[in-house]
Amino acid sequence: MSNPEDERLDSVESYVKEVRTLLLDKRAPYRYKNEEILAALNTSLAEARRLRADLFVYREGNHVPYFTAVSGEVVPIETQFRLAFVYGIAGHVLERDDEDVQDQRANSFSGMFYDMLIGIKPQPLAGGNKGPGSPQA
Amino acid sequence: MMDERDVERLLNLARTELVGASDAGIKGQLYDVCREFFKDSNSWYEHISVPVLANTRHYRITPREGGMILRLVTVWDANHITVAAILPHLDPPSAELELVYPQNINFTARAVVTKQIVEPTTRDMLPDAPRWLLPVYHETILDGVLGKMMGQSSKSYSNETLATYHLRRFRDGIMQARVASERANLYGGQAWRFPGAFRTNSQRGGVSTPFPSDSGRGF
Repeated sequence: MSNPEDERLDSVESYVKEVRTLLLDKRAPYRYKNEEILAALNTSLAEARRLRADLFVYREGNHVPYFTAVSGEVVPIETQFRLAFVYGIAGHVLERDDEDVQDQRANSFSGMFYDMLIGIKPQPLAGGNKGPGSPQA
Repeated sequence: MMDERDVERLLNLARTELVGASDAGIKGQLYDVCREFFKDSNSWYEHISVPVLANTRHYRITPREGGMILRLVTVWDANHITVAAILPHLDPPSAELELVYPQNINFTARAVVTKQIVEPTTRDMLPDAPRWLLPVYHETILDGVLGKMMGQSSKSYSNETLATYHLRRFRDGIMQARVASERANLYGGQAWRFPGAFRTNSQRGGVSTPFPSDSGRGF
């Protein structure tokens, strides 16, 4: 049984690790750099602030956190919304990828991010096949 | 301060009804709901001792049991006779009490005020409301939270129909609390009382016979 501490998704490091699992990028040398995933995390947080300002209401203020390193620094998001951020980060990372084959999956992850924040039912995960117009098609 | 178990019960019910809501969002609305409840029901009282000095009309009064002073109900002298007074200035959580007429002796008066919640909240971002609020008005407060949350637009828990339903129940609950407060929680009591302007603290013609009660209303 895995250590539940690894799956709490409460730190930058745990988000990056979980996103790498979704992206099938767990072994070095990595396909996606830490900086790219951090950029996606910061972008997802900013987008979530637009959609759900209540997620960023803290006792000491309402700032949107910004991260510059993969560390154990806490990402202050309530437990029930953490999965949405994993999808949001993964979607954004894939959107930055220049391979067309990833577009459908990127859209799917991003759609789940939006659905989980402001919708009710997450849309089914899709993608992973050879996309139209892809050199692999 | 509200009991932790009462609050958790309220939040759990709200979480169940509001799929996709954040705790911070629910607590934010809980604060506003409590504000509206106390503002419109006048149900949170405090009796404050005021050491009245001869020929001094202005006093600063501060609640000792949390909240901010919102309105003045009455001021009594030592014999429970009403002393004419107003609250010309609110300075949360305190207020300035002004006696309409200067008194000619020193005595300890008792000011009865209604209160409202005020910042800061607790460490858990909960309003500092009185302990009796949720045991007595749990349904009303829950209706207020649900109604205000469901009334938000573009959220997974948005529901215009249910928002209207819950907010109507919330307003009804406030009115019930207002009436219960005016009747000092007396079942079958009446809100009407002999007009206070006709009361007197004159001792001519006999001994002053006020009819004191904790509610300040004579019953």
